[in-house]
Amino acid sequence: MSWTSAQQSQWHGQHAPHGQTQPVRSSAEAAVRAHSVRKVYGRGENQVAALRGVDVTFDKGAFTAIMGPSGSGKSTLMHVLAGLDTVSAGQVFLGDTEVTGLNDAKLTRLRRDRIGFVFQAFNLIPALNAKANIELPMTLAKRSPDQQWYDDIVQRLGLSERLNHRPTELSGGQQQRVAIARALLPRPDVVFADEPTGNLDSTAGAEVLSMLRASVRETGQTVVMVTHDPVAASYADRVVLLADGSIAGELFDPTTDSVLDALRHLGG
Amino acid sequence: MFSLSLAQLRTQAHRLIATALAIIIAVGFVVATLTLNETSKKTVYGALSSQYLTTDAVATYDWEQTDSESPTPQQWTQIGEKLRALPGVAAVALDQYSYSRVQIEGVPGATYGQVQTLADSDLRWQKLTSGTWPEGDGQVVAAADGSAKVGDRITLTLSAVWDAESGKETEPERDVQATVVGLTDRSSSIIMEGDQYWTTPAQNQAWNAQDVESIRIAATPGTTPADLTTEVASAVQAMPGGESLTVRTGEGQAEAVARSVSGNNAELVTVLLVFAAISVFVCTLVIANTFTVLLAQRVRELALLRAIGAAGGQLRRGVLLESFVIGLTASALGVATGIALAAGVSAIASQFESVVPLNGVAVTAQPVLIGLALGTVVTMVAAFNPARKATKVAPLAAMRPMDEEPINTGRGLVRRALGLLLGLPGIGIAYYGGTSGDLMLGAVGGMLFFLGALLLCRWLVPIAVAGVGRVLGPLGQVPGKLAALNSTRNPQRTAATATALIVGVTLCTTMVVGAATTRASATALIDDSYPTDVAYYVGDEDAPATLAGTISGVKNVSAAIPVEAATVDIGSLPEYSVQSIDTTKSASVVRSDKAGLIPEPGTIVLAEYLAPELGIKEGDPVKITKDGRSIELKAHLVFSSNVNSPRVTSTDLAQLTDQTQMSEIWAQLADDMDDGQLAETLRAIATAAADVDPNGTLAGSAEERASFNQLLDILLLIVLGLLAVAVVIAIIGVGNTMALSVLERRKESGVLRALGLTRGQLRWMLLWEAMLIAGVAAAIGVVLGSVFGVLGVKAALQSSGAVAISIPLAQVLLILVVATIAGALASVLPSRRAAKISPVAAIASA
Repeated sequence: MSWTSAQQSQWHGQHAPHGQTQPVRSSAEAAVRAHSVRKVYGRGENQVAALRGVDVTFDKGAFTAIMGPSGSGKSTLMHVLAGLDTVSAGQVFLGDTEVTGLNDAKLTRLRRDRIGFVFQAFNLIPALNAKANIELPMTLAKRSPDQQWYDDIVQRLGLSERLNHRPTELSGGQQQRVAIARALLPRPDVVFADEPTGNLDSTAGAEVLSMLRASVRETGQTVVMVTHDPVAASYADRVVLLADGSIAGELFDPTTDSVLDALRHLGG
Repeated sequence: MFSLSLAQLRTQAHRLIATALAIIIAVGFVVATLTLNETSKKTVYGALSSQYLTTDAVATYDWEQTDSESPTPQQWTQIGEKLRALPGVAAVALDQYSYSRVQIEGVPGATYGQVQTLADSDLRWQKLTSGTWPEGDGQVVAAADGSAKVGDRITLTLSAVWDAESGKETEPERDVQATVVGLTDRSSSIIMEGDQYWTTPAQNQAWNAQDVESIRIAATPGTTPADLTTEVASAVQAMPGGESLTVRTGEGQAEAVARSVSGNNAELVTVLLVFAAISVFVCTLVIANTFTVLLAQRVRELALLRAIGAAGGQLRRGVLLESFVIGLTASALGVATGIALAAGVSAIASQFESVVPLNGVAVTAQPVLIGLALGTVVTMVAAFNPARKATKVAPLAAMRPMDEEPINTGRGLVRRALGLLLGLPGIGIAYYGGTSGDLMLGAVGGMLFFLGALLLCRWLVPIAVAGVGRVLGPLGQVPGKLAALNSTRNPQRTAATATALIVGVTLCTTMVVGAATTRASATALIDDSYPTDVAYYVGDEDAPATLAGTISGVKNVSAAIPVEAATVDIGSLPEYSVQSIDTTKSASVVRSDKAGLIPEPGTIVLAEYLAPELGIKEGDPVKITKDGRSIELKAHLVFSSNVNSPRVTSTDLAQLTDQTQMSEIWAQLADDMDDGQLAETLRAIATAAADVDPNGTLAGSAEERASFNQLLDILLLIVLGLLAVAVVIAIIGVGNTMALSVLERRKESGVLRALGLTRGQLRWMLLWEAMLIAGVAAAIGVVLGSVFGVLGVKAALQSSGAVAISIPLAQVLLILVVATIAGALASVLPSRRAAKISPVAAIASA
């Protein structure tokens, strides 16, 4: 596990106030790896580089937050890592599988079987009730969910009473919990969460984050979350900071204050 | 708002293509119909005005203007002679004509043609395109669109002439020979049907041309047509027979004839416009649908405009302005399409002898303005309700994150109640009209029921689609299940899309089922009237006795027997021809004889109308006498049109006389021939018989069935062609709905792709959805159409005999399948676009 107490609240990186070097964490296995990833949009004069050579590793069983100011490339990084978008150069690995270079059909299967998503706007399918939404990725893959695991998830997320409700009949927090259940049910290698609390009030947001963290702690689920909210980031084991398309540092066992502090340094 | 509306149109142009297409087709249909009507009028008037170009005054017998009898041929000639002497008259032409059987040498078969008198010099309006004018005897010019060519030898069979007073035949029927020396241009014969020939006045007199069309008069220089007309009019009043004549100027006559010709076209135009109206109605549904979705997508933008101070009314006016511009632009294109279509039809029609005379294309202001106004108004009306709803949006909607699309479940209780109120009595009235043979009641009931059904569609279609989707869902696997759910997400839109298709499919099925039922009923009627497949009426008394053998030798003829006839006295009726049936032989050619048209020994088959004359009832004895010998037979009365002459068995007749002659030949054809083989066999029989008996005619159930089926098939084809326009528009509507659904669910498609739906599955999902909507709509249409078809034919034909209900399953299934596949095809382009959506869209546009 990468989030040992030894590294708690340590701040490493080029803007690090004390200049410590990054500790070696050889014990961890990589769930997702990016190697010299570049992403360029547009052509010629309109060219904008969203990612300028990113090297980053996300360990198995860890809850990592990607942070950075608007336009830092954090969303693009997540899209590229999740196989939603192509790279201009470099490689992305999911476990031992090289994601870059897979065709659309293989990418689709990869996403279906090995990746879970939680979106800011929940993105539940309005025509389906909560249960059907949760089971959707499994149904698409023609796999039947592990009933015990399903019951376990539904219970932990407090959705037992809401399974027959349509998304429009659920509160924002409930919808996001359904989305988390949907992401967790296939036991993906990694769950990507894109601003999962962006559309929620602070109480519901805290609930959702606790549940994501619990899934990491209790079941060893790997979670990568993009956020700009220091409070949300403080739930993570590790924060990767991005600025202008490059890795600008990282933070282990963050608190709201340490994240704010790091962000201030980024800005300054 | 104006500039904003225009900007909207520019950026959303691609979303409006389908709407525009629907308007273009509907407007094009209307404009083409109206333009063809104008063209026909102008063609007729053009031909007529050239016909009366040199004519200053015309005296005709116009039965609409007088109650008197027309002048006799002699009176006509005298009137012509007297007019010649009037001052101011330069020339007089007596336009005589007669009808003759015309046979062109080397061309098989004969036609009926009109031989007319060619006026001298000034009053000759025909234009020669090749050859020369007829000079002496035996020379004619022919109209260019007939079958004759310059140099052809023709044989005219001149009818016998009877004296009007004594009723005696003064001249028998005779054949004369003539040579075609020239051809006239097409306009010379444009308003006449059949072949036209012209010859010199003297020759036509010699050919017994006695009927007079008109007397045309040319004025001397210095006399105006009006003055001449007044002079002639008062002059003819004083002449014997002349009081019944109407005198007009040449121009006036051209207009009068044109009016009467166009009057006939008016009915055709009305029928065409009914079909056009159906297309316009379907188009309205499609447009309304499109606007609903377009505006739903813009809720946020509309809300933003409200937030920055736009009034609801302003937004509404803006949307209506948009619809105005789309309507006007598409209508303009529709008008152009319609005119081009009319020009095409006219060009094709002028190659053939068409029912409606057409030449070139006449573009007048009226069809153009009607087309523009119709398209624009329909678009604006269709857009009004969506505009009203969309602009009710609260300004705050712009501030909130975009919610999931609002699902409008619209209770529509009023609509449902109204639908039931119209539909239930409607079907009752239609059923009553159908069973009692009252066409008016049937039509009214049918329309009420259809209106009711359309109103109920919004309620029933989503239920039906959901039900079918649930049943068939497992077949389509996960995408199929999703599709079934999606298709009912917006019940209102699904219903409107389906309704457009239901209208088209219902009407098509009505026609197909109606035609099949008519065919079955008519076939039963025909079979009842003819006990045999073929009845050949022998033409000449001296036709060879081998004729039956000749006919039975034709391929696909299984048997043929001669039917003899003799002249006998039947009761009080002297010298009556009776047919004798050899019942031992007739079994080989008689298929069925439900009506009892074949006599049994000891009976005589008589037409009903003879019963009062003979003073008998069914089963009464009738005395048949010949040369002093007589026998008594039992009368069997049958429907008058089913027998040409009384029939007895040959054994009964043999007791009276052996002096018989061949009257008919009855034949049976091979079973299970298709229409083509049947027609071929009948042609072969006619050809084989014509060699030895040129004046014979062919009848019988096969012949009647064949010609009736042909007529029905042509009518059905035309009507289906016209209805197809409505179906095409409806299918465009399905494509449109799918395209807009794709746009609307862009984000959702992205999410599904992110969650692992493959491109193929996404396409399949949309295909499935389109097929569900189209299939359910087609199924409803097919059921409604079958009911209408059967009831319609029942109402129309009940009075003329029993109606045999026939639903052509194969054809009806074909309609269902074609409509479903067309709906699926309509979704291909939208689903391709949807499949291109990157999964990133799901997150990026959050």
